[in-house]
Amino acid sequence: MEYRVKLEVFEGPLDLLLHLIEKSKVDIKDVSITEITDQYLDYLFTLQEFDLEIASEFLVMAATLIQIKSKSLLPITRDSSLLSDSEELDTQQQLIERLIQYKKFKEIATKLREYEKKQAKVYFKTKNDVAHFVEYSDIIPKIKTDDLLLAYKKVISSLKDREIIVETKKYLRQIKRDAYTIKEKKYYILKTLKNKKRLTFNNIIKECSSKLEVIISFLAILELIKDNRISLSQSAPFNDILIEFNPSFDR
Amino acid sequence: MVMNLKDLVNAIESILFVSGDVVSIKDLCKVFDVDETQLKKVMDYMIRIFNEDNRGLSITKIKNGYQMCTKPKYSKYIEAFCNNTQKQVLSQAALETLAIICYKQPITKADIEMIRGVKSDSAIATLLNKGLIKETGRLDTQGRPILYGTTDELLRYLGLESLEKLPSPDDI
Repeated sequence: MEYRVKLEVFEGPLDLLLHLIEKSKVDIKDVSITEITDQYLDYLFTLQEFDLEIASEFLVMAATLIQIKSKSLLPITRDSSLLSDSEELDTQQQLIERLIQYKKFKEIATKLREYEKKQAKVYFKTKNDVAHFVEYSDIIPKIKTDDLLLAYKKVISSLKDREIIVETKKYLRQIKRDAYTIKEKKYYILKTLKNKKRLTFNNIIKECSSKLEVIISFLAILELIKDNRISLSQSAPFNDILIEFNPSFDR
Repeated sequence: MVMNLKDLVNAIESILFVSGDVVSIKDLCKVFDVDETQLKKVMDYMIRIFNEDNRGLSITKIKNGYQMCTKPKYSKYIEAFCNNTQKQVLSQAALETLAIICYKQPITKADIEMIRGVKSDSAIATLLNKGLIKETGRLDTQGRPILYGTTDELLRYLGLESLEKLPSPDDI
């Protein structure tokens, strides 16, 4: 025979505390934290017995409750009394204020549930897209790409001397083709090496026509080293660098 | 556009039918060239006759607009027509979270969680998904946390003309 226990589900530690307080039929403000702590822990133990996972928030609250309770049990020594006493009151007071606030929102939630249920009986039509009432051919007669370009040019020229043109120009950059790419340079270096067998760094640089090309060539060489395709050697510092095929490169 | 009241009411009724959405009083003013205060009176009159007359539809006021909807009385027939599907209601967690956002907006997730004492990510996600709340900005503190507030869809969802119609927290 199956044995079933129904445990109430709580939305969180505050929900559980409120439930315990309501059960003990005292006002939140007059609640005995000591008593409530025991009941709260009892509930957590029950959960444990049934191997239910206890959310961390419940444990944090348990710690807070135990802290308040243990402080209230400690004898108050004169020198520390001022500080610890007010601290304890603070924690307890804060908890009670949180409970009162939470209770209020729970009550509002109940009210919202009423509204929700009432309104669930009311049905609305989904928003109608009135666009399809309009004939598209009216809006867009036969237009060719050239017409669009012409219209665009007209708009841009009519905007002259205005700030907008500056705004627009920001987005109107030309995209130039890369004059040199690392990929091409790598290929070029390998091809030259194949013909000449050896090459120096200066050979390559001298052929370059711009600073950019020098940089790209340099990067291409670095990549080729990384790929293990070539090896470099230099007889002395600042001498020309010799570039050769890497003999150990396995195709 | 000069027309008699009966025609005006019928024309507005047609517009509300076609739109399906909330129709703002301003848009109606533009169509009929009638000033707002007068048109509001006409709308009040319409809402009344729709409620009094024996018909299936009613007109509801949402913020500064109007929308046509069915009367609750006939919901069971609509549900039967729609294969007995009923509208899903919000979970308790989502509802609590919504209550907090209604009264404390704009509010961060951390503050909601502080009040509820539990993580509220999934509740917030549900409410966002249903369009009942939205991100309204970010708080200018460390981490710039997102602030949440309610939407007009919420008003429709709860059947409220405006948020002011919510009960004041002290009344409860």
